[in-house]
Amino acid sequence: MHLEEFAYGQSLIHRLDPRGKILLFLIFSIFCVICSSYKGLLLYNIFSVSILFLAKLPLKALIKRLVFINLFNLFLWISLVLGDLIDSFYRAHILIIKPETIKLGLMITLKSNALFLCALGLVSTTSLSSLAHALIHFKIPSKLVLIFFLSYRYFSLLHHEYDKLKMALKTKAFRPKTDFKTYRTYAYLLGMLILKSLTKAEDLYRGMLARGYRGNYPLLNHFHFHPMDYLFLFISLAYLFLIFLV
Amino acid sequence: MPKKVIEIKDLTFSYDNVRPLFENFNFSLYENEKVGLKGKTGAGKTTLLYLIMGFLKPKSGEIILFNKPRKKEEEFAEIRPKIGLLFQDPEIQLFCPTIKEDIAFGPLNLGIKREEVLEIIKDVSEFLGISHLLERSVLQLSGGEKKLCALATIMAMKPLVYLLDEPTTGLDEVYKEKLYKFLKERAKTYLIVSHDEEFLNKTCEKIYYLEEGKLKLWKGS
Repeated sequence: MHLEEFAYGQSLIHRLDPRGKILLFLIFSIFCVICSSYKGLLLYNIFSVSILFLAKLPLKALIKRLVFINLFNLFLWISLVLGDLIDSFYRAHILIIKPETIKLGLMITLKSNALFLCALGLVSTTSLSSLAHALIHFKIPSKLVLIFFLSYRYFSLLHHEYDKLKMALKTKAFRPKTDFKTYRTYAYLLGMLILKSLTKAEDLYRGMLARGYRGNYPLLNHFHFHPMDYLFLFISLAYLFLIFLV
Repeated sequence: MPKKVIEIKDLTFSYDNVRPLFENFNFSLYENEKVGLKGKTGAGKTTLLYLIMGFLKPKSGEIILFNKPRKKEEEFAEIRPKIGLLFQDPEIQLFCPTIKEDIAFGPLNLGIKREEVLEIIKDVSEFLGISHLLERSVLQLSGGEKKLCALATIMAMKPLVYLLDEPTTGLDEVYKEKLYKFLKERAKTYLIVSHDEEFLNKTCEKIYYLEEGKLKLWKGS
């Protein structure tokens, strides 16, 4: 499980202060969500694509993710259209798709793509540890940030434990079938994972206590805003504000 | 007269309230003493270390650390930085994004300033020969590397006493040499739990054998 596929790079976006990126993404999200004009949403999409262009992310991986997110949009379209058709047939025995339905579907599609692409460009180009540190700088309670960060750290570990358990099953000639024995085996697997995660959590806590942990996650490196961060933020916020006025 | 740093008096402990692991158990570790502890699997060696650190509560008895009886969590929390525990599983000790941050975690919790912490990281990593691992995540390390990095994290806190749980497990001769160097040059008082008899004979003046909740002197006086 690799959530930091795009986190490391040398582009302009990668070198920006994570706090600025998070702040910009938050403001972008608010402006994008409250926008009700197609022109505005297209401009927000252009902004997101520009960020991705500056971040120099691999096109193939981006398209893969874009297709994935738009599969959900496809289901949304199908349900909206079907809803209209069923409703119109039930009321008047005709099949009509209302213009409002198309407008709604289009609005959701444009917004979801703008937000997703912006998140890819601004958030996924930051390592999880930097994100965690930035959140602490924003005075988010360090316990919450620690939970968020350690969850990711230990998902990877649990995935590794799951692989080991699967290997153990294979060495005992286990072959999954549609029978009670298989379901019971998977239930044991799940139970063991839960127990192991509990044991790991207890051990981790002891490890932290042994090194003087008292509830606060100390930071070694602190971020510093550079002139490029200020310039980037200024230009981006000016652009977003102009779109908002449009 | 050497001072007692760890003293356990009449301690009783059991995991299941049926078979006590320790019953009226007594143990002392003096300043500058280098003690080894061996015993069969399940004898309670790791449990003893956890009791000393206050991670487990005894049913009865006293745990006196640095001349003060410790019972409450606050009393143990105060003293833990002075006792460096190396866990049997090094992954327990490595939870930060990079090894550098893992080493810094302890000293930063003690309120040491960032510049000094960076100096400590440099000193400890150069001493153990792990400078090239500082920017790596624990997920990218081998077993031996994890063990050395875990050791670095407790060395950075400059504890007065070291408790090492199976420190040579998974280490090859090169890494073992680094461990010997550490014990010779940087650790004055320590208690090592290990099955590695050769290692214990080489590093400890006194070795105990733990069996059925009792300590028997194996080597030394």
